[in-house]
Amino acid sequence: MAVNEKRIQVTELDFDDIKNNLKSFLKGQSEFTDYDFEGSGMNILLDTLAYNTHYLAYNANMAVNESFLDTATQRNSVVSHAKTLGYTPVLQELLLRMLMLD
Amino acid sequence: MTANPTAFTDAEATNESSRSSFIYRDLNLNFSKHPITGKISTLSDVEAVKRSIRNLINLNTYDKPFHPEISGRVRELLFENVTPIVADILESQISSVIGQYEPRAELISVNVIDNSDRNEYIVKIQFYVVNAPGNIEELTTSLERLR
Repeated sequence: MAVNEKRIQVTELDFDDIKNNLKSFLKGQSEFTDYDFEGSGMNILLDTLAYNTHYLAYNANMAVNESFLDTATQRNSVVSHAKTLGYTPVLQELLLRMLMLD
Repeated sequence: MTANPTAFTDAEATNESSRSSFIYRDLNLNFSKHPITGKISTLSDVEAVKRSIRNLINLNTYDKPFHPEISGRVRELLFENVTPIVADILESQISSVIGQYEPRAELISVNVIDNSDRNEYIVKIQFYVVNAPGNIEELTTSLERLR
Protein backbone atom coordinates (compact mmCIF):
# COMPACT_ATOMS: atom_id res chain seq x y z
CA MET A 1 0.00 0.00 0.00
CA ALA A 2 1.35 3.42 -0.94
CA VAL A 3 2.18 5.57 2.07
CA ASN A 4 1.48 9.27 1.87
CA GLU A 5 4.68 10.69 3.37
CA LYS A 6 3.11 14.09 3.99
CA ARG A 7 0.89 12.51 6.64
CA ILE A 8 2.36 10.96 9.74
CA GLN A 9 1.19 7.50 10.83
CA VAL A 10 0.09 7.62 14.45
CA THR A 11 -1.24 4.10 14.96
CA GLU A 12 1.86 2.54 16.52
CA LEU A 13 2.67 2.39 20.23
CA ASP A 14 6.06 0.68 20.18
CA PHE A 15 9.21 2.82 20.40
CA ASP A 16 10.86 1.48 17.23
CA ASP A 17 7.63 1.71 15.21
CA ILE A 18 7.02 5.29 16.33
CA LYS A 19 10.58 6.20 15.34
CA ASN A 20 10.18 4.55 11.94
CA ASN A 21 6.95 6.50 11.38
CA LEU A 22 8.74 9.75 12.17
CA LYS A 23 11.51 8.77 9.73
CA SER A 24 8.93 8.05 7.02
CA PHE A 25 7.41 11.45 7.67
CA LEU A 26 10.83 13.13 7.38
CA LYS A 27 11.35 11.58 3.95
CA GLY A 28 8.86 14.16 2.70
CA GLN A 29 11.26 17.06 3.32
CA SER A 30 14.77 17.91 2.17
CA GLU A 31 16.00 20.25 4.92
CA PHE A 32 17.49 17.42 7.02
CA THR A 33 18.62 14.15 5.46
CA ASP A 34 20.67 12.46 8.18
CA TYR A 35 17.86 11.08 10.34
CA ASP A 36 18.70 7.49 9.31
CA PHE A 37 22.17 7.41 10.89
CA GLU A 38 22.39 6.48 14.56
CA GLY A 39 24.98 9.11 15.54
CA SER A 40 23.36 12.09 13.85
CA GLY A 41 21.79 14.97 15.73
CA MET A 42 18.45 14.40 14.03
CA ASN A 43 18.46 10.77 15.18
CA ILE A 44 19.02 11.85 18.78
CA LEU A 45 16.10 14.27 18.43
CA LEU A 46 13.96 11.47 16.98
CA ASP A 47 14.93 9.24 19.93
CA THR A 48 13.64 11.89 22.31
CA LEU A 49 10.40 12.39 20.38
CA ALA A 50 9.76 8.65 19.98
CA TYR A 51 10.51 7.96 23.65
CA ASN A 52 8.17 10.73 24.76
CA THR A 53 5.40 9.46 22.49
CA HIS A 54 5.92 5.88 23.69
CA TYR A 55 5.80 7.05 27.31
CA LEU A 56 2.55 8.99 26.82
CA ALA A 57 0.99 6.12 24.87
CA TYR A 58 1.84 3.63 27.63
CA ASN A 59 0.47 6.00 30.24
CA ALA A 60 -2.77 6.51 28.28
CA ASN A 61 -3.14 2.77 27.76
CA MET A 62 -2.81 2.03 31.47
CA ALA A 63 -5.13 4.89 32.44
CA VAL A 64 -7.84 3.66 30.04
CA ASN A 65 -7.44 0.10 31.33
CA GLU A 66 -8.09 1.29 34.86
CA SER A 67 -11.17 3.20 33.70
CA PHE A 68 -13.19 0.02 33.09
CA LEU A 69 -14.14 -2.65 35.61
CA ASP A 70 -13.29 -5.51 33.25
CA THR A 71 -9.70 -4.39 32.66
CA ALA A 72 -8.80 -2.61 35.91
CA THR A 73 -5.95 -4.21 37.84
CA GLN A 74 -5.53 -1.83 40.77
CA ARG A 75 -7.72 -2.54 43.81
CA ASN A 76 -8.49 1.17 44.23
CA SER A 77 -9.87 1.31 40.69
CA VAL A 78 -12.05 -1.79 41.16
CA VAL A 79 -13.42 -0.47 44.48
CA SER A 80 -14.21 2.83 42.80
CA HIS A 81 -16.10 1.11 39.98
CA ALA A 82 -17.94 -1.09 42.49
CA LYS A 83 -19.13 1.99 44.37
CA THR A 84 -20.83 3.30 41.23
CA LEU A 85 -22.78 0.01 41.10
CA GLY A 86 -23.99 0.45 44.68
CA TYR A 87 -21.62 -2.03 46.25
CA THR A 88 -19.00 -1.01 48.80
CA PRO A 89 -16.39 -3.71 49.32
CA VAL A 90 -15.00 -4.08 52.80
CA LEU A 91 -11.48 -4.89 53.78
CA GLN A 92 -10.55 -8.43 54.71
CA GLU A 93 -10.92 -8.98 58.44
CA LEU A 94 -8.94 -11.25 60.75
CA LEU A 95 -10.64 -14.34 62.06
CA LEU A 96 -11.36 -14.21 65.77
CA ARG A 97 -11.74 -17.43 67.72
CA MET A 98 -12.11 -18.03 71.39
CA LEU A 99 -10.21 -21.00 72.78
CA MET A 100 -10.91 -22.44 76.23
CA LEU A 101 -7.93 -24.31 77.62
CA ASP A 102 -8.37 -26.52 80.71
CA MET B 1 32.11 11.31 31.15
CA THR B 2 34.15 12.49 28.19
CA ALA B 3 35.38 15.90 27.20
CA ASN B 4 35.90 17.16 23.67
CA PRO B 5 37.75 20.46 23.63
CA THR B 6 38.26 20.21 19.87
CA ALA B 7 34.70 19.18 19.10
CA PHE B 8 33.52 22.59 18.00
CA THR B 9 36.33 23.19 15.52
CA ASP B 10 36.12 19.61 14.24
CA ALA B 11 32.48 19.95 13.42
CA GLU B 12 32.69 23.50 12.08
CA ALA B 13 35.50 22.80 9.58
CA THR B 14 33.87 23.28 6.21
CA ASN B 15 34.99 21.05 3.40
CA GLU B 16 31.98 20.31 1.30
CA SER B 17 33.10 18.37 -1.71
CA SER B 18 31.96 19.38 -5.15
CA ARG B 19 32.10 15.70 -6.17
CA SER B 20 29.48 14.58 -3.68
CA SER B 21 26.45 13.01 -5.28
CA PHE B 22 24.31 13.50 -2.17
CA ILE B 23 24.71 16.18 0.48
CA TYR B 24 24.18 14.97 4.05
CA ARG B 25 22.43 17.59 6.15
CA ASP B 26 22.00 17.37 9.90
CA LEU B 27 20.82 19.40 12.83
CA ASN B 28 23.57 21.23 14.71
CA LEU B 29 23.20 20.19 18.34
CA ASN B 30 25.09 23.32 19.43
CA PHE B 31 21.84 25.07 18.42
CA SER B 32 23.74 28.09 17.17
CA LYS B 33 21.96 30.73 15.09
CA HIS B 34 22.59 31.24 11.41
CA PRO B 35 24.28 34.68 11.21
CA ILE B 36 22.07 35.96 8.39
CA THR B 37 18.71 34.23 8.59
CA GLY B 38 18.67 33.84 12.38
CA LYS B 39 17.38 30.30 11.98
CA ILE B 40 19.01 27.30 13.63
CA SER B 41 22.19 26.36 11.77
CA THR B 42 22.71 23.03 10.02
CA LEU B 43 25.70 20.79 9.49
CA SER B 44 26.34 19.38 6.08
CA ASP B 45 28.47 16.81 4.31
CA VAL B 46 31.80 16.08 6.05
CA GLU B 47 30.94 18.25 9.05
CA ALA B 48 27.82 16.17 9.65
CA VAL B 49 29.71 12.88 9.40
CA LYS B 50 32.42 14.09 11.79
CA ARG B 51 29.84 15.23 14.32
CA SER B 52 28.04 11.91 13.99
CA ILE B 53 31.26 9.97 14.68
CA ARG B 54 31.95 12.13 17.71
CA ASN B 55 28.40 11.53 19.00
CA LEU B 56 28.78 7.76 18.53
CA ILE B 57 32.06 7.68 20.47
CA ASN B 58 30.56 9.68 23.33
CA LEU B 59 27.38 7.59 23.57
CA ASN B 60 27.24 5.52 26.74
CA THR B 61 25.38 2.26 27.22
CA TYR B 62 21.64 2.98 27.73
CA ASP B 63 21.94 6.52 26.34
CA LYS B 64 19.84 5.33 23.38
CA PRO B 65 16.39 4.30 24.62
CA PHE B 66 15.77 0.55 24.14
CA HIS B 67 19.09 0.15 22.30
CA PRO B 68 21.90 -0.29 24.83
CA GLU B 69 24.05 -1.95 22.17
CA ILE B 70 24.56 1.38 20.39
CA SER B 71 27.39 2.95 22.38
CA GLY B 72 31.09 3.71 22.21
CA ARG B 73 31.64 1.97 25.59
CA VAL B 74 34.50 4.32 26.43
CA ARG B 75 33.14 5.50 29.75
CA GLU B 76 34.11 2.41 31.76
CA LEU B 77 37.57 2.39 30.21
CA LEU B 78 38.23 5.97 31.25
CA PHE B 79 38.02 4.85 34.88
CA GLU B 80 40.92 2.43 34.37
CA ASN B 81 44.56 3.45 34.68
CA VAL B 82 45.84 5.25 31.61
CA THR B 83 47.95 2.59 29.89
CA PRO B 84 48.75 1.55 26.31
CA ILE B 85 46.64 -1.60 26.83
CA VAL B 86 43.53 0.45 27.55
CA ALA B 87 44.39 2.65 24.56
CA ASP B 88 44.47 -0.48 22.42
CA ILE B 89 41.04 -1.61 23.69
CA LEU B 90 39.71 1.91 23.04
CA GLU B 91 40.97 1.70 19.46
CA SER B 92 39.13 -1.52 18.80
CA GLN B 93 35.90 -0.30 20.44
CA ILE B 94 35.92 2.97 18.52
CA SER B 95 36.61 1.11 15.26
CA SER B 96 33.78 -1.29 16.04
CA VAL B 97 31.14 1.36 16.80
CA ILE B 98 32.02 3.42 13.71
CA GLY B 99 32.07 0.32 11.51
CA GLN B 100 28.68 -0.80 12.77
CA TYR B 101 26.72 2.43 13.00
CA GLU B 102 28.28 4.96 10.63
CA PRO B 103 27.96 3.62 7.09
CA ARG B 104 28.85 7.01 5.61
CA ALA B 105 32.44 6.81 6.87
CA GLU B 106 34.93 4.31 5.51
CA LEU B 107 37.54 3.93 8.25
CA ILE B 108 41.21 4.09 7.36
CA SER B 109 42.72 4.12 10.84
CA VAL B 110 41.97 4.80 14.49
CA ASN B 111 44.94 5.81 16.60
CA VAL B 112 44.60 6.29 20.36
CA ILE B 113 47.57 7.81 22.17
CA ASP B 114 47.64 7.61 25.95
CA ASN B 115 48.75 10.72 27.78
CA SER B 116 49.20 9.51 31.35
CA ASP B 117 50.52 12.87 32.58
CA ARG B 118 47.16 14.48 31.89
CA ASN B 119 45.04 11.34 32.40
CA GLU B 120 43.65 11.56 28.90
CA TYR B 121 43.64 9.80 25.56
CA ILE B 122 44.08 11.55 22.23
CA VAL B 123 41.99 9.89 19.54
CA LYS B 124 42.89 10.40 15.90
CA ILE B 125 40.50 8.93 13.36
CA GLN B 126 41.19 8.88 9.65
CA PHE B 127 38.38 8.08 7.28
CA TYR B 128 36.84 9.06 4.01
CA VAL B 129 33.24 9.85 3.33
CA VAL B 130 31.73 7.32 0.93
CA ASN B 131 30.33 10.16 -1.18
CA ALA B 132 33.73 11.72 -1.75
CA PRO B 133 36.35 8.97 -1.58
CA GLY B 134 39.17 11.23 -2.82
CA ASN B 135 39.48 13.25 0.39
CA ILE B 136 40.90 11.68 3.54
CA GLU B 137 39.34 13.30 6.57
CA GLU B 138 40.86 13.40 10.04
CA LEU B 139 39.04 13.83 13.30
CA THR B 140 41.04 14.45 16.47
CA THR B 141 39.42 14.47 19.85
CA SER B 142 40.46 13.85 23.42
CA LEU B 143 38.84 11.62 25.99
CA GLU B 144 39.27 12.22 29.69
CA ARG B 145 37.47 11.40 32.89
CA LEU B 146 35.70 14.38 34.40
CA ARG B 147 34.48 12.83 37.64
